[in-house]
Amino acid sequence: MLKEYFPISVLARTEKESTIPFLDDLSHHMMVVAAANLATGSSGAVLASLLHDMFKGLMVWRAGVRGSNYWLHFSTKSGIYEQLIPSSIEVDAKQVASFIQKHHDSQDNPIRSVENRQGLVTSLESKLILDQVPGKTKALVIKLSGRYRWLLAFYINQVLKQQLTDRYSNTLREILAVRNVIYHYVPANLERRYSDIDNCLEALNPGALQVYRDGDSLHITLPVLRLPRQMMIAYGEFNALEQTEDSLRVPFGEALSLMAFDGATSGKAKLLYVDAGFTITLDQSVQTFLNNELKGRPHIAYSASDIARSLEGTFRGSYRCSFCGEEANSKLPLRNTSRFTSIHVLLDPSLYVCPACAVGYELEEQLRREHTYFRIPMPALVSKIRLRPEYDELTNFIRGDNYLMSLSGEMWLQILSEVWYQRYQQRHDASYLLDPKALMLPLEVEFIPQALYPLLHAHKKKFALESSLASSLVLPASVKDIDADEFQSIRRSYQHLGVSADSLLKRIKQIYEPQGG
Amino acid sequence: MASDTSVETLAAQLLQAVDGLIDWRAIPEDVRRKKYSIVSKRVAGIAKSAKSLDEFLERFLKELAGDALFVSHNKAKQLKDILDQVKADKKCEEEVLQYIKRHPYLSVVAYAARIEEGR
Repeated sequence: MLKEYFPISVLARTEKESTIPFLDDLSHHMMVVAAANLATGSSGAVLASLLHDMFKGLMVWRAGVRGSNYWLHFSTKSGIYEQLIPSSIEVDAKQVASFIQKHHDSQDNPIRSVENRQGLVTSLESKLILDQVPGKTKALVIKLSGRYRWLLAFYINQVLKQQLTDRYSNTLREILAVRNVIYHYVPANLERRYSDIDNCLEALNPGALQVYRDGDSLHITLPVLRLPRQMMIAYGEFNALEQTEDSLRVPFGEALSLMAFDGATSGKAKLLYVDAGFTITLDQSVQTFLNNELKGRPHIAYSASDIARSLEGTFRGSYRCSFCGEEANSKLPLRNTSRFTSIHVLLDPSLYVCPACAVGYELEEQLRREHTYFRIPMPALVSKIRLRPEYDELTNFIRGDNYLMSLSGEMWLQILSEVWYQRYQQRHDASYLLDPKALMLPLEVEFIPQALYPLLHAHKKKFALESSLASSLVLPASVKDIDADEFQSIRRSYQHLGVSADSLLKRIKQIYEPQGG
Repeated sequence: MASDTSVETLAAQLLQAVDGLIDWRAIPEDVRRKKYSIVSKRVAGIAKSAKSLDEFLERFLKELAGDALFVSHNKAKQLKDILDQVKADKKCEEEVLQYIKRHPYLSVVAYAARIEEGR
């Protein structure tokens, strides 16, 4: 039942030696490379980056052999790429073609500079960024030593994504006169036995593959062999993630940034974003957050700069914060102290609190007043990957259930969770909710959505401090929380019992009593 | 893919067979409305300490039905058949008991969904 799948599309890369796949999508990979080349200011480099792997979906992988001199994933024929670029797009088409056709060879190639061993793409895919900021990225460092800090960090991350969306969009407009990039995955109905990409392209209608501009959007067609149906992934100036059965709109900020954790002991995280030549500081994000989120709310006695320093762990004070242990220098009068379960707080309603936790405290009070049901979607867990049956000749190529998690692929796992929760709120497509899968051709990815619930449990207690942020849940419930294990059991029941998804979902709601609808 | 011998299906069939022995019409309306919610909590409580499938079923039936048993030849045979099927294989019996212990709420979800679909 293909309609049950959330469309992701085509696998972008595999690890060179083992050929184990990295979970990341082709269009996203090209978008990341293009964003890193925005800093060059070259329209040719940006357009070439946006197109450089566009024929990867035509590549017929063979067991044990992926690429070789005679089987490349791009065309080496002269004039092919020039044909795809209409004159209405002001760019040096010859230069674009040259960048694409030499992106594996030439040392000074802008695509290669992002993809090489020290480059952005390899850094993100290898996930070795715990102690350093990868090349061609910028990072805001935040310290997550307390739960109020988590709450604040989530909001700051949201604000940063919006700011990034505006900035990437403006930069792209200056360079290519568009604000959105829309990739259309289209089935390429070809016979399977082709010797190389150029051979494939001869059988395709090149006119149908031409890049075109429509208003603020640049449209790029990605032909894919054995693709079951057409799909669209758009990156651009969107306010939020939006998805339908066959399309997905991803704001630039979402696609080109991520929160990377430094590891359990440091308690630090980096809000990483692709360096496109501009800088957004933590102060700016905090200021925007204060203007937008806490507007009209109780006065926050700290400046944006103090809050930013506190959040990154460099704020200096003579005391320790009662909530997170970071440095603090003034007391915060706490309201509703009976809500706290800490004897320490109950006895002294005026405690030293760091600026970050002071804001986190106000946020929590605000959310409680608004009775907001609050959830932070986290990257989904991959429970299983399997080769789609129509790609069975790759059995020796894609090794079993192995996959490599990449930071760039983490965005997809985040999106999978977010989309699942959107659909859950809409009670949309019960079979998808019980057995969520996504396509990343040639793979089918089975996943478990995850979220943090910082304001959960007892309404009369301090929610943020009482709930466990360390463990993700699928859904908290009055009778029994649905965690990853329980979700897998539900999935197995659905697969084995042969009852309809609608009745199973109805009974789950009745018996587990999930909170927040 | 429906599979009649999966542990999930066997657990659901067993609970469904016990459900069929209870005269739900004799049970007050307000209790009946919350039937599955009540049943799931009972299953969770009883399964926790049950040492065998027989013990679990006996206690479950006793606690749930009280005096409202409605045993017909047909219903009793359904329970016996499914119980015989499970007990024919010691390993299977143990797996079904462990499944109900680990997933009491899900077991009830499954049998409730089966009843709704007239299985």
